[in-house]
Amino acid sequence: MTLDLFSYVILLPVAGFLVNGLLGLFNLAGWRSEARKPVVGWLASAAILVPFLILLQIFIGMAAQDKGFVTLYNWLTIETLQVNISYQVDSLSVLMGLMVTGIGFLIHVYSIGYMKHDPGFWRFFVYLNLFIFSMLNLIFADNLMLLFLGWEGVGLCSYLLIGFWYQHAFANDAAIKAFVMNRIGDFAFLIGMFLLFTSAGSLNFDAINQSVGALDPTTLFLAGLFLFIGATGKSAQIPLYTWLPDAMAGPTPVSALIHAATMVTAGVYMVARLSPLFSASPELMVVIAVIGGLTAFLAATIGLFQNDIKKVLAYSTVSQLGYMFLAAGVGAFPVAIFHVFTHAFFKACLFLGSGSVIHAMHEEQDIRNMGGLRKYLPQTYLTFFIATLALAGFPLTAGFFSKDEILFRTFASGNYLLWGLALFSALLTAVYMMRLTSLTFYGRERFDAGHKHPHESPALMTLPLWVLAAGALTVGFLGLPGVVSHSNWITEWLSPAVITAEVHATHTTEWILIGLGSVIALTGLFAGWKLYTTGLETVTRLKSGLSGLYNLVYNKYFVDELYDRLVVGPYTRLSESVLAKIENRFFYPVFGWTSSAVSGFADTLRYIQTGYTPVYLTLFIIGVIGLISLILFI
Amino acid sequence: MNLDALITYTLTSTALLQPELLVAVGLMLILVTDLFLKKTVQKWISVLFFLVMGLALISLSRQSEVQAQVFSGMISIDGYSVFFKYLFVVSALLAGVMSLFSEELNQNRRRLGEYFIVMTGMVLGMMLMAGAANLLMMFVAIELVSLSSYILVSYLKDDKISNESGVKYIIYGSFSSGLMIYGISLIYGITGTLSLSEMNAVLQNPAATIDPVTLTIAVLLVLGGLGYKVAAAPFHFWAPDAYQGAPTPVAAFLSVAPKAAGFAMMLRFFKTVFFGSATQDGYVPLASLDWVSILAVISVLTMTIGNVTALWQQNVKRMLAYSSIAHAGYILMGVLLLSDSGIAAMMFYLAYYLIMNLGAFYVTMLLGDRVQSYELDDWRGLGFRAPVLAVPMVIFLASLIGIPGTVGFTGKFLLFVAVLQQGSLYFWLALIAVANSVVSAFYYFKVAKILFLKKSADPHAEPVTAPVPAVVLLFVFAVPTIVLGIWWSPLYNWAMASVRMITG
Amino acid sequence: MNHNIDAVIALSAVLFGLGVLGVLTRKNAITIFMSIELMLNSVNLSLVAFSRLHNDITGQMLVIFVMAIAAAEVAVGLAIVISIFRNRQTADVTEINLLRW
Repeated sequence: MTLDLFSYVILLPVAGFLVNGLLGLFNLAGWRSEARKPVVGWLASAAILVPFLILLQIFIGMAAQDKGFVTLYNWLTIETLQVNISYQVDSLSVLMGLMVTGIGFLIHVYSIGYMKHDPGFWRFFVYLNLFIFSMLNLIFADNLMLLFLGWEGVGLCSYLLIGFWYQHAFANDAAIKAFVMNRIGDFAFLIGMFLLFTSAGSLNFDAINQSVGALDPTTLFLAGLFLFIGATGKSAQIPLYTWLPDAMAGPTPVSALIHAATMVTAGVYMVARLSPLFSASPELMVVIAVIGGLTAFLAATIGLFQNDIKKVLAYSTVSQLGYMFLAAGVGAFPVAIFHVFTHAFFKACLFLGSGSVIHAMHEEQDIRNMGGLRKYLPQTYLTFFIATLALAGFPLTAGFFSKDEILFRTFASGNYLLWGLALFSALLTAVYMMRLTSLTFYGRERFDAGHKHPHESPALMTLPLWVLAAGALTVGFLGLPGVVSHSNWITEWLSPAVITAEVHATHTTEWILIGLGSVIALTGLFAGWKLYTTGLETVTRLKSGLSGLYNLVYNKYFVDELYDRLVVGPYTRLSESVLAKIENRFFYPVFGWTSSAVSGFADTLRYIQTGYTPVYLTLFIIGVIGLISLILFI
Repeated sequence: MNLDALITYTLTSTALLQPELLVAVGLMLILVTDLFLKKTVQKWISVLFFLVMGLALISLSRQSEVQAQVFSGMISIDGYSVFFKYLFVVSALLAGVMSLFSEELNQNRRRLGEYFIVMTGMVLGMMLMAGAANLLMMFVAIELVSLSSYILVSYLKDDKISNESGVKYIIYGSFSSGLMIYGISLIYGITGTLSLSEMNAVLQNPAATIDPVTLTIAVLLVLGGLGYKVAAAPFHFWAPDAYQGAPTPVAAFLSVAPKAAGFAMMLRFFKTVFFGSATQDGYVPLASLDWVSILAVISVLTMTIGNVTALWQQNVKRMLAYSSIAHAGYILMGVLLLSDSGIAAMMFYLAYYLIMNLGAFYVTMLLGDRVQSYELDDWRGLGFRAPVLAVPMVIFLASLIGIPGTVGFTGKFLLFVAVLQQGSLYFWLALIAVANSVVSAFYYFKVAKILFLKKSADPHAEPVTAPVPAVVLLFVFAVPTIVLGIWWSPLYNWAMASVRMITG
Repeated sequence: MNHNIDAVIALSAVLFGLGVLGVLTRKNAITIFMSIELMLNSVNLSLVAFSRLHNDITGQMLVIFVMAIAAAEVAVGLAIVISIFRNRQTADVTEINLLRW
């Protein structure tokens, strides 16, 4: 394995970012003009394509157990702690890197067509390149610190890209929501990192993974738990998932790249990277599996009733991420990565397809106002349909292999309840995906066909769709189930980097489960198709019959409102009351015991800066006396 | 000591103290020039100031190898103090250039001479503070700095706000120096000496009987005086009012340089007086005085009060004032550890804090001058009217939050590592600090949001620009903020090397 | 000898306390400055006493510096009070609170 060229994998995206960024910022060489748009776009795409090719070359020349390090820069050395800008090239990181650069390149190309008329064209590609750079840092980092840098970097890019159309208030709000939720996760992540550093004495993955056995179980559990909470922020799991659906306010290629294929899987990647650590704590594994399973189910039910084409896909992403964590939680880390891999193809394809639809419908996103688009957008339709089948788990598509493997491993681990939940979610997945396809592409046009003329997107946009659709059909064969083939390529490829739990199940069981999964997928697909093409009245009747349940799910279980009540409200109150004028101070309602404690605290704080010098001086004295008594009497 | 020897000693001391003397002579030179040649050379007063500071920088480079105690142990010259002296001179230079672009100050152009005189005096005071090894010297130096700052804060004679902040500041400051000198007199009464190293010897002597209660009270009174200088809670009340009322370059200067001087002095005081020889991973405390937990309490209070109160500030200068209080809280973590890495992290933090905070204040000044307001509401959408000013502002804010890639992150990280290296005892301290930095993201972020994400009230507002030299200065602040975030080891190594050279 | 020292120190402490009280309770800025003077002078008293106790001259040196600094403080303070009085016709610190919260 030669890594001579590896540094360019990291450096080229940042070079693209700098060139486009600086030229665009100062509008040099007419960089923001219409005529330069192709140059900007292709330059940015090339900055991703070349790394992809380099990684491909490395990949071809390496064996699974190969592992190499490339140190670019010695960044922090503080006595015992060493943190380098140093990259680790092994089977796991190369696979992820290939996926990110490959799909990233396709989405860059797609964006050249999609963003053609946007005045912020250059800005968009600058952010995209920065994103790929951060993501590659996250993936190839050989220590938690650098991973965290990339982690923050992708968060920043995600924020910038969600709020890309800053003229719209909802885009800003969504961006801030994403930022805040991720900050909460980051906080936990930092705590986890601190704990690991104090107990394991290092932040290097190898060192951490090796010292797992020597760690105190409680510390291990806590450190892993905090890291996992960080992952729930980034990967949109319960309880921090609500930002992802809102993040759809960003341009569609962003949703495809960041909020479906790559960034949101960072949490799963981190868990897999530290698989020895996580699997050393059985309690932690249960937590991960349960959170994953619940998220998969919850998001699937919500996805069933959304009417915004991108929101459906967003909830579906949350749900699929739940599957990945479920796989990790039952010890099947390679399977989780396998699902990351297949999911990237079909979900990116779905998002890009939805972008094509939105493009054709002149920014219409409500599927109730679509229908019959099959004949207007034949290529989009076909690719979208293929990806739907893959996501639903139609036999022999990519999603079929990865999802069935997750279901099988869950079953084999003995968590029958979670298995049942996941199986039911798989049914729901098939239903809501087919509902989406039916409402969008089948039936009659529910828009003014005389007025609107949907047209197929240019080749620049359909070509990536076809590549991704082809991937959605084929990449599943990389991980054939054990009953079919003795060599499951992906598991074997990952085995040097990622550990996996033992499987105890007979072939018969596995066959039965595969059959069950196929039946579930087919049933769901059929039900979705039948209900939402010819059976719309049945749906209406069902809705009114179960209106209570329907409202609960339709309103996303009121989780956003709950967070507003429980977290945002008291928080705002705390900070406002610090400053509030004295007149307002009895105005605030008492809000549980936490809140009264908080307002007591805020009361004192508010009085402090009165503007009266004597008060300041008195507080000075009180401060001195307080400190004296603290030291003398405690 | 006979007379000859005394004269030789004084001359040697004088020779070693070249930068300080240079600044002192420069101060008199500017004073005399301003007094007698006002009409003819008025324009050149500022040039004279820069010249003096430049010369001081050059002579500092010659002082860096010196390791000595001069003037009967009044002043220590060591790598530690030289590091800080560089900070003071550089920040005076930067703040001086900044002042030239300030509209507030230039309305009183005729009086600008006074401004630079007082500024020079302040630099002299801070240089003495960094080296003071005797309570007498400490008191004189701290007072020189304080008196200069009172004058600078109330420099805008006709402005009610500036007057008010001046009055509050001087009353608060004199009061706290009164308490501090009382503490000093008690320490003198207990130990019978004013020299820090002799005090250490007395405390180390097992035969000496020292009343711990009196000692505690005395030390805390001195700590109050030092805490006032660095704006640590609960001695911070003057800071928001003084910063808001002061001319912006002054507020900027006050928020970085005297704060650094205060920390330099605080550390030397505690380290020299209360600690025995250094061991591998820290220092051995002498007295039973548990001042580590005292400083920990102060640190937590400071960062929490600073950040929480900053949350809903509407005035940018006031917000930055609270933010600087919060940062003092972070820096205190480095002081209380009293490990080499803690001190080095503190010095690193102070050095880059100087750049990014001066930068933030500088943009604030430029924008504030142009829209005639420091209220956030009037800054809506300003980012698109003044991208050249607002983009660096975002860089400074990002660095103040501590976003990776900026120097703010590196500094916080170094600090946290230093804290965590001291073992799990301080784990909670690091936790509170991280929680605080999360809170701080909200208000820093709010400024960026107002600049870029809000529509301006008047859609046809003119673009806002600044003269080219002003923009160049802006990049002098912005570029190191990024570059030091990545390529920081020279600065850190310098700080680390300086730490090892602290002498009593 | 020791007995006398105690008395002097006690006197200085009482004077200091009175000074602090004065600063905290007085409203007029000028009176506040006078109270601060009282604080500083009480410190001078104790410094001289300690200097005598330890038979050490540095304490008395410090007294000279404290006196000089006190004078400078009052000079600057009065200048600022005068300029605020010109602008607002008041030297009452409780009325000077435009800056708060």
